[in-house]
Amino acid sequence: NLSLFPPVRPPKKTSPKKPPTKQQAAMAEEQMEEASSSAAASGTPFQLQFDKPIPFQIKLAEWNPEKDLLAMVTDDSKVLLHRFNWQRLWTISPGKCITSICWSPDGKIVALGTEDGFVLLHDVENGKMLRSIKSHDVAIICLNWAEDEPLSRTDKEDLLSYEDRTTRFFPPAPVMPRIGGLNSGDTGLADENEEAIQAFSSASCQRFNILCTGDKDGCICFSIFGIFPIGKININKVPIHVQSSGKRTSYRLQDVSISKQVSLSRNLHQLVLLCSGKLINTDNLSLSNDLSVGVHCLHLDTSIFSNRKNELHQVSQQASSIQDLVEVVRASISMMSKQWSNAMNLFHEKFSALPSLLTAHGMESSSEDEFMSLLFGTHTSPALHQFLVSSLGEAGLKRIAKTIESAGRELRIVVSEHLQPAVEIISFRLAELRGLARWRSRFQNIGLDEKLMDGVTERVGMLVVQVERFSRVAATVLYLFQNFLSWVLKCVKILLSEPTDQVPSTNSELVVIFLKFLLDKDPIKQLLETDQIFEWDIDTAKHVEHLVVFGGFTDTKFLERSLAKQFSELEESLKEAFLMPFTTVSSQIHCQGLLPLYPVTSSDALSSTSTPASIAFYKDKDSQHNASSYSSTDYICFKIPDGSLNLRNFVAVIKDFCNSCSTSNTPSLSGFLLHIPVEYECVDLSLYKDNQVVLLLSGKSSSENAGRSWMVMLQTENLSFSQFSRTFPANYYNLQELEALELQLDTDYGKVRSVPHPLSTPLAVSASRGVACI
Amino acid sequence: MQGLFSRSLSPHQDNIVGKYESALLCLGNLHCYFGHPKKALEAFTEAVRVSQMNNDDSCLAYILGAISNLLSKIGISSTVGLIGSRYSLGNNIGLGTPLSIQQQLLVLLKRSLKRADMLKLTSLLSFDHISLAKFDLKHVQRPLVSFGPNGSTKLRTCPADVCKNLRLSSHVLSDFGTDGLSIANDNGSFSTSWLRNLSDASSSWHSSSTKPRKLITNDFDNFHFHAQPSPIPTSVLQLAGSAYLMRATAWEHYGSAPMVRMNTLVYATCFADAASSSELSLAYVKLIEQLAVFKGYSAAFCALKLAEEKFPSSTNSQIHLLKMQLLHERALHRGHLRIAQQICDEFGVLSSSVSGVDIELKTEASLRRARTLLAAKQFSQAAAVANSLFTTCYKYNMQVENASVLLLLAEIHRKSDNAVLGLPYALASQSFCKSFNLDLLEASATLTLAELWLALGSNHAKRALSLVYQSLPMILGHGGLELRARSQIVLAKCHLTDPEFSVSEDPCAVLDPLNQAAEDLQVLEYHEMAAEVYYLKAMTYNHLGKEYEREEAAARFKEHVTALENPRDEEDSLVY
Repeated sequence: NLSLFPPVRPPKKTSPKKPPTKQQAAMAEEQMEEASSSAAASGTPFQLQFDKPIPFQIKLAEWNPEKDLLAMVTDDSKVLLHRFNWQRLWTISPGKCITSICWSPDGKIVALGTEDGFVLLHDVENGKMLRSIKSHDVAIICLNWAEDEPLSRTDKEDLLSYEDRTTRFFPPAPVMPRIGGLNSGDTGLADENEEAIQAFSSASCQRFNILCTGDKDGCICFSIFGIFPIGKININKVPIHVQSSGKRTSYRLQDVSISKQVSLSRNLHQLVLLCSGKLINTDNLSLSNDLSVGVHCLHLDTSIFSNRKNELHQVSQQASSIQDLVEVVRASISMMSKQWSNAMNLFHEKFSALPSLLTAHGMESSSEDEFMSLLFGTHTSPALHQFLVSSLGEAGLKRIAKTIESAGRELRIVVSEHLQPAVEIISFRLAELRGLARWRSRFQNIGLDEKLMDGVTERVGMLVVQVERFSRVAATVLYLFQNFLSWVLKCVKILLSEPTDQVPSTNSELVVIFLKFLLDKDPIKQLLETDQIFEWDIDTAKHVEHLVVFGGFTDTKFLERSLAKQFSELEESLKEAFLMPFTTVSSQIHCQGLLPLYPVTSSDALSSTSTPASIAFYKDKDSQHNASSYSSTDYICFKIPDGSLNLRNFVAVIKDFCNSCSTSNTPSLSGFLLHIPVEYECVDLSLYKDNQVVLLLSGKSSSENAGRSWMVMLQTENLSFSQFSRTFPANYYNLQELEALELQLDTDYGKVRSVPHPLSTPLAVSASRGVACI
Repeated sequence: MQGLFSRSLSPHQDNIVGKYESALLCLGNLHCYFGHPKKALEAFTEAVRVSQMNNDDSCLAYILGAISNLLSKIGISSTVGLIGSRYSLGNNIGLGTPLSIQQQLLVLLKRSLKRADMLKLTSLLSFDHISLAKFDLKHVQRPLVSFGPNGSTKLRTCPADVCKNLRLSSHVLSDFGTDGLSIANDNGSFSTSWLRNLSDASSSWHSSSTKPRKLITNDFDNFHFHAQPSPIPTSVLQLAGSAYLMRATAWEHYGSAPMVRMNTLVYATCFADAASSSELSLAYVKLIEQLAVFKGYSAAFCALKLAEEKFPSSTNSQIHLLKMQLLHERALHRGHLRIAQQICDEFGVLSSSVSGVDIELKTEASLRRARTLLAAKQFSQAAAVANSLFTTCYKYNMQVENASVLLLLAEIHRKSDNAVLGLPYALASQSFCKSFNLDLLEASATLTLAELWLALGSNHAKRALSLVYQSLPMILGHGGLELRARSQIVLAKCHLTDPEFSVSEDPCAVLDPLNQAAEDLQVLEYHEMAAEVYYLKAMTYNHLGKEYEREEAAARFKEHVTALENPRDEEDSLVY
């Protein structure tokens, strides 16, 4: 059952209509309208907007940040997109187990994390997959896609802004070649995505944003626009330095598993994440004890992203387009090779009948000789006659001609519409990147290396030469084929005593060349294979060496390679060049602080990943006027699992963790604990826009309240935060120090609504619209 | 690209019907080649008449292309009045008003293109695309007819069109078999060339068979010596190659140095076998220019020597011109003004005395004269030359050249301490560059603007700095040594002038660019600017209290100033 409530401001809740006793799990979603805050006191704070039963168990749900769209993942890993009024837009089944979901900041893309470490990006319009990126080895537990806060742009940064000149100088970039109607073989995945990819790459380059993905083993990857990988850290290997009473101690976390929450602040300055793992002291391994296994809150310094965002933006914009185009080139080459080998197979299959016929007639000459003697009019051997008239025949010949012609046309189209433009734009973009790399003071510290870029530029130049060589060889070969086949057709007609005036005139010299060099060789295929080494003559060698003096390619051996080989070399050097920024940026992400939250026993370590928790950054109220340098406060809100810290049914809210890590004097860590009435348990919780906490409480089955649930929204400002110290090494878990508050469902802490069903996760909160729970 | 056109006509000779008009067409092309536009036009007019009489559509298409070639080649103004009367193009499209010469050119090209497309004359089609690209490169395409307020007037050139046209023109290579006029004929030419290569082929077969590596031969690879004679006509190859040369030229305008180099290299590598000597030498000229700008003069002169061997200089004016350009630049940088003046005079002599002919050469000569005068600090004379040059360019509608002349004027005013006067020129140059997409020139105009603001006082340092930052990505990426060094100097100066900036806090912000500039200028042997760099360096070290480094920089400063003021061994400047 899904229930929707009319949209206003956004708290939400869900109510199942059918008892889950049935096999089919029932789920409901509600959207609630929050009465405007002034009217909040006057009764129902939330309204049920709509509800609807849905026949699956929903595992994850997330509201689109821009529109009234709710994306949900079911237990059997279908992804559903619903509008606010429950109108279903699309459903897709990626065929993989989905473990996390998030929206891009502009709401145009849904990112899905899968169990096997892929990030899938889907278009919001139609659910088409835009990209699939393998960035992790294990399940991706959490995704967070943060966008650069536009307010943080200052005048100076605007001046540093940079125009991507490509759109001005080039027509739209080529897309992957589509297989023509004639030979519709197995169309790869790539084909159906092509338009979407284009739309994606042009649209995504608007504002700087970073997708961070965290996996089960404690790796966090960062990718700009969700597509260009820019950094990766492994929490297991990050040293954590803790300053305590003048001493500096290093710790390391072991067996880390990131829990559901990773959050990058909106100015991209800080990253806060919750993870479970064992904390060990690297200076003194013996000091660790059982207590050190627990859930910890880590603060990572990602200021490289905000300090260098212009540079990163420019680089990733160019680099991601280059990677797209490299895919286009790859697809073009493989398609040409497929098309051509299909055509050649047919040709050789038909013409291979001739040698066997010759043997059958007891002749020792080769097919080449036979054709030659036919050409020069000496005689037509019975074998050749039989071959031309009966085994090949006019129809068969025409079929071959048609196949080769269409393959040739495809080849021509692919070269001129896909391969050449793609290579041209790649070379332009690389030239731009190389230009950026020259600005050492700005780009060296994000790892854009001038030397590597020079190398790549050089390679792409060679690739252009190779493409030109290929198109020339292809044009010649195709012309010769056409000439030869018309000549054979003419011969067939003469043998059949048919009129030949329909056949185009042919050049007999070219027929000779064809017979000598093409009948049993395939120069096009040679160029499309990677393992060929070509011979080339001394004159050319001299010419190329001569050109070096004029600033030519210093690698004078490049003509030995085939087109495909040259392309793979380009790819390699591109990979190397783009790895530099990746490693450089990764090495500049440091851990700034650690706060142990609560211990877990190893038995329930696994379940801890599913404990409700939420992290959010709120802009400081007092700094809102000063647009250029605002700071933000982080709020961490989580449920303490029963039994841990000897607390039952508690929810903790902590704020200012980051600031307490980075600056020693200003607002220090504070928080409070909230005791949930015993007859309820907290099912899910979430932080909501203006420093509110939304809790989803469900009646315990044992109590009389079974089947009744509550949705609660609390204003954190109304609650008293008490400071607590970070005497971390001495005392691991300080949460007990916090003041415990009783949550009473009828108080004025916030707004409460009861829901007449048992509730289950997830709770999805949307800052601009409603809240849904399922 | 000269001579390109006459080649695309070669298939014509096979056309039996129209021998007379073909002859006229060739005559016209020859007149055009030797610089007699009027005679050429007469021949073309006659050819049009005859081919219309004979219904020879393809010849007509070629003539249209030839006339447009003529129009774009000779200085546009001299044809005013030549064409209007007999052709009355204006009337043809139903407009009473006479069209400007550029628009006539555009109309002709488009018509020729349409006809070529209809008649499947792929070579002509390709040629027309290249001509269109050439047109688009330098001219804003305005709609011929614009009705009412909806007629959008875009006042920028459209580089994407250039790119599209060039791509279309490259299709000639793959479509050569379908050209209606170039049917391969059985005249034995292939056998002849094959036989000629036979001895080479068989002898190298032996040598190659001794190689240990297993090599594959691709018989149709043009890089392979016993590759078979290609059925692709040379004219087609030349057209396909011209597209690459044209690309290189386009990128020279738009500002992407690696693209210029790459396209030229592709041309020199892949099309050298079929290229005409003038086009091939043009490619080499471009490569040497790149060397001079990015690697300094010694590398360039070394390459130039090789090029001169390859193309005997008596027959090749392009190489000769390049040599003079390089010598002039080097003389200016070294401060050998007498030599520079001498080369300028030589330049003046090279161009024809007829007005309207050889305009590009004349423009270049005056530009160089103005720069020489500027280097000699004769500001008013330099300004006078530049002003008259501007008038000429304006008269002949050479907008692209206008941008650089305006920039030169701004530079003259800056050097004569007249920053306020220079500002409007720099701004005008900048806006010209914007509308013609001359990104690199725009970046250097921005840099000049920054220098002008800086000259106005230290309170403008912030503005200047932001201007420098704007131009840096372009300049560092695509600018030559001189421009790069200049931008680094301005950057350092901005910091030094800024009252809020303190050297002791961030010495790297000043010293890094200065060191970089010093390095670049060393290669370039540019004494004047090198002296400036060392001066600034010495000042900075003085601030920092590093005396040893200060003295060192000061000594280098003195070295360069002496070299500039007492040019020794001036005669060296003509030797390379």
